[in-house]
Amino acid sequence: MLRFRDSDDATAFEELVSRYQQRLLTILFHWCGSREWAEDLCQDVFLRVFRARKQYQPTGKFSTWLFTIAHHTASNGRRGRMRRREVRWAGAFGSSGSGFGLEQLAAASSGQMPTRLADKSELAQVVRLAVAGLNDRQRLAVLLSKFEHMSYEEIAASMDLTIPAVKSLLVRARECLRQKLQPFLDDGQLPLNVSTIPPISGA
Amino acid sequence: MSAPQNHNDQESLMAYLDGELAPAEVAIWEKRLAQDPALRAHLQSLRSTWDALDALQTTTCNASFTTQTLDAVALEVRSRETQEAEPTLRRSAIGSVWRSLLVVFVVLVAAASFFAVRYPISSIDRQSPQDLVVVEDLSTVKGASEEENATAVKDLDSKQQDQEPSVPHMPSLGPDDSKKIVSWMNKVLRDHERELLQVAPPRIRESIRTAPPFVRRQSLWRILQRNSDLRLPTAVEIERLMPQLSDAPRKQLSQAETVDDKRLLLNEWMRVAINARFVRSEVSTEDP
Repeated sequence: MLRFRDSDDATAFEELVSRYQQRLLTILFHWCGSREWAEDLCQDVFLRVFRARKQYQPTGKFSTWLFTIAHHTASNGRRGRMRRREVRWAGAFGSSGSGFGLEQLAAASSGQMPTRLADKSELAQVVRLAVAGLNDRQRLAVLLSKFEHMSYEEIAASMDLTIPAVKSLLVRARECLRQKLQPFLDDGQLPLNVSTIPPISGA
Repeated sequence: MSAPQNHNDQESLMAYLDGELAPAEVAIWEKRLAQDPALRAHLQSLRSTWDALDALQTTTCNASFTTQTLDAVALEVRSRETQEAEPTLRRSAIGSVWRSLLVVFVVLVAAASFFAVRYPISSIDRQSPQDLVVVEDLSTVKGASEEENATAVKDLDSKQQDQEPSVPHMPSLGPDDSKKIVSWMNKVLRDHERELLQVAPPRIRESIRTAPPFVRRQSLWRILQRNSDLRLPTAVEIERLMPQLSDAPRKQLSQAETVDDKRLLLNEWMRVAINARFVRSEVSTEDP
């Protein structure tokens, strides 16, 4: 990043994109639930990185700075979509914690399913639903912690929060995930509508 | 005791799981866990749900995503440069009377220089900038005067002539053939513009639509190259090109066994033209 900032070296920027695009796309994809939207956001983030390159200060990890930009870009993108009323489930996750939750679904015994999906695929869908049930900030904090292995301090920097606020977010998110996932992990209870939700393509 | 009821305890237990506690606090939790089976069960429950998140797929980027991202950035940057250039000029024009006079003086000097340099250049070279259709880098033409473009075109033309004989696919392709192939390909791109824009990343669609014609054409050409499943140009379009070519390239093209082979050959010929950084044809004047 420093080479790119100091010399505007296009090759350095290309390296930067190559190195971080997959990580960024993974976070954004699981944050918004739509591959196409995640790709748009990802490109927008790199565009902002390009524009803001001169303001980069190597005081922390580059990834923290990158995900700070990603957080702002995604939040702005969400607000823009809300204004245009484009946010809907199936293409994208709900916008708030109450927008989608497994508690709204009756648990069904696996015998009611016409065809049982492979265990791994079932687990992926149930986890996806559970993560979708978190609110935006909880979801991002969880994804940064899980996929980026960020410390509380780094998550706080990326999300413009204090460390106690991050701890509080993660406690609530983890408890929420535990309550939703535990029935499936313990007894294989599958939420009723898992079979009706198409798997996300293109991941 | 089972799950901690106190919020501070909950946070502390989570920090224990995440390895964010100081050694002294870790020791306290380990002691409590050793004494309390229900607490151990709760911890295990938190751990297993956290581990379950591994089932979320890691998103992979397809091969062209990096290039698309870089293209999007490049197009945006060019677009911003173009937009920013106009207000700058406006601000300077609104300045003091002296500044206005200075601008008038600079314009007069520029005009005098233009006419002084323009006429020594041959008529072919003067026509060349008008023929520019595909330019690899907008900055090579943006802001450059006509005579600078003419000189650049002349240089590039000689480079192209130097390069062409070394390309194995083009031993028999003359300048007229190149021109006809490029003109034909520009028509193909124009005819399929909507189709090509549909497969372009949404982020850059608008930038392509509003780009200058030669940049737009180049962008469409790149999209066509990267989407072989579109199967463009069509067999009928290739057939239309054949009679326009001289004997040798026509024979070479007709000997290609499949339509895909023909596309590859045409792709190679076009790439050489693009590598020479510009191609000439009448198409630049067709776009509004």
